[in-house]
Amino acid sequence: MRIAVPSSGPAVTDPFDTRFGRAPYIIMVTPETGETVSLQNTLAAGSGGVGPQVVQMLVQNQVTHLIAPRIGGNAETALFAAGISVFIWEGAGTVSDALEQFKAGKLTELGKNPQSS
Amino acid sequence: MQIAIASGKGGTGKTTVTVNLALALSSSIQVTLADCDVEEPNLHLFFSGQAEEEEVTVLVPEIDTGTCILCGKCGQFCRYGALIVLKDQVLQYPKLCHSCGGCSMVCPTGSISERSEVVGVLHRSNPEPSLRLITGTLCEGSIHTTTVIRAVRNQFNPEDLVLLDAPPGTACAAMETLEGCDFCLLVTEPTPFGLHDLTLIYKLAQLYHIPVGVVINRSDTTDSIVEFFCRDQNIPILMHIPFDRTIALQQGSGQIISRADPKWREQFFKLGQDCITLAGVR
Amino acid sequence: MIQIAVVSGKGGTGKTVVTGAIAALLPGKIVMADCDVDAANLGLLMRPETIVSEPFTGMDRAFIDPDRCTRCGCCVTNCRFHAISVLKDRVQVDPVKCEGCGVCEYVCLADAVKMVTHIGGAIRSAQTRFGPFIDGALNPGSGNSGLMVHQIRKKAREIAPDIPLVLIDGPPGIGCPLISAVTGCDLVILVAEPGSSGRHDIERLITVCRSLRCRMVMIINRADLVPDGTVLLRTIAKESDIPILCEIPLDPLVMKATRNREPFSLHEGPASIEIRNAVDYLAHELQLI
Repeated sequence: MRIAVPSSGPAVTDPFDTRFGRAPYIIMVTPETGETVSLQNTLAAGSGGVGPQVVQMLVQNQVTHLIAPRIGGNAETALFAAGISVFIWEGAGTVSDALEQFKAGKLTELGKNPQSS
Repeated sequence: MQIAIASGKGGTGKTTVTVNLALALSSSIQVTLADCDVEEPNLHLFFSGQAEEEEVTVLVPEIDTGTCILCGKCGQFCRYGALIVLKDQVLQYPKLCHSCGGCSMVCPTGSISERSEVVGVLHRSNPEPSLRLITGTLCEGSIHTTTVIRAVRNQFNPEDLVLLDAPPGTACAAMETLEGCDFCLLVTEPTPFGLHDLTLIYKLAQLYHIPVGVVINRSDTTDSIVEFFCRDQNIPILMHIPFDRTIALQQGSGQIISRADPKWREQFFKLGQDCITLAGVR
Repeated sequence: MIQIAVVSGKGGTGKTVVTGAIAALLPGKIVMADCDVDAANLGLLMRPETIVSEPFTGMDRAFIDPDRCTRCGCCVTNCRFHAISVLKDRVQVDPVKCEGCGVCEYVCLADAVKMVTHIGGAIRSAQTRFGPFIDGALNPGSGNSGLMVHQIRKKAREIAPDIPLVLIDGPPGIGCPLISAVTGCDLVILVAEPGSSGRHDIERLITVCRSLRCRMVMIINRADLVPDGTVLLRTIAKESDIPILCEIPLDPLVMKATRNREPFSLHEGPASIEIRNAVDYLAHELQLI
């Protein structure tokens, strides 16, 4: 399992970013090994089609799960096609807070619950 | 000769001026009226008659899944996110494609060909004896605004007198419309907003060295705000249209004021002649 | 943080005037974001002070190194945007037409083309008597307004994180800038004007906002100007299941206040009664008070 979280900064103590594709950093965590990799999102300033391009980046980095507040339609189809599970967290806090919520099983998986879309 | 009717902002009465000008001029000259406000085309609402339809298309990639080796080169090349290469498939977003053709160039196996994607529609009609109307309509959700405007422009004959209804603003769409025009009629209103936007669109016209004239709509006792600017920049003010509920009501219900009222017809005809004269000065 | 976009499809329905009137009734509770980047006007009403300007970089543009270029014309024939032309002594890129695709860089045999950052305008942040204010100015013909809208919204969210509401003055049309302005908003306020042009535009606008899953409400401006048109707008709203927030009558006060660069809601008149009720309702709904 490799979980990706959009972040405003390079560390897990930085705030969780409220936009998926445009977040300045994507932090990837592998719970089994405890490995944390922070990836600068060079696509964040792109003019269009950012969502799908970030999904491609996630695929290249073997991401299996994503925690995000909101997903655009284009990114959603790409995530679905890539087999990445998306968990919605609309709260405010740090990247660690988002991961805690996920581990505690408090987040809804996109597409699994019709009310969430 | 091409005359654009523009306003930095919407709602200044640009459409009112355009339809009246077209109708008045077409009483003695053959006129082509082009709706280049392809995101929100409106001119056709003022005219009736059967229209001929033609699709506007752009080229988008088509991938041969049999020969594609999922190398990812097309996905890396595309700066618009229109192609995404996953482990087992290539995902496409034709709506994001700018149609640059780069993906088919970089594909090492020749698996990418191109197909047409509809991004807009052209409507051509002859609503009045000597008036031809060309309307471009952008498909909802498409980014190819300038492509559709270019398609409208491709319908003109060199000898035509063309009136182009320009889209609001000063971005790509307005530029695509203004480029190559012989004259630009700027419609404004005497408010701080009107003046601000007039200044912007005037700068754009200057960039293309297009001579301009101004129409002040909803004109009243406060016109001086615009008049000072025009005097300062040496821009001729060609017409004042007073604020009038009757005009608003007629316009709002799809009628053209100069169709019923010969006085207005005469005024708009004169406005048209002034534009043609000023365009010729160039 | 709640985000509300005020949009109209067609210009001139009074969108900016309505945005300003709403903003003036919520002092200290809002950040204003003028996303009508082709003709940013909200500042004329809000009178921003102490403006801080930052350069805006759009999509990359092609740059051709004249020392390396052999003027073979390969880039010219491959550019689908007709952005490159061969002149007598050099090859020139039209920065307006260039869409930054990178094909010229790829096809150049002499390695003379580089994609470089292009300054397309400025993003400005300032203070007003009602709250922080962000707008943007694109250099004429720079294009890329969709990206600028996105960056203005980002700045608006960052500038004062403890202010609960971002109020967006949206761009006209239904193209790329509009989509950037309403995507992810909690509420979209459609400012419509009765009249046939207005109707046509609002229907196209509703289609786009709906496809972006935006919750919508409608304000009918100058509602008594074309009575039949207002009836029609009510029908469209009902059919599309969009509540009508208020109907603002034609009121000389609005024009007068606007001419004096004042939000009309700060003055007394029939129009301001309507907008005040609407804002009270909104503030209550959104739990701002």
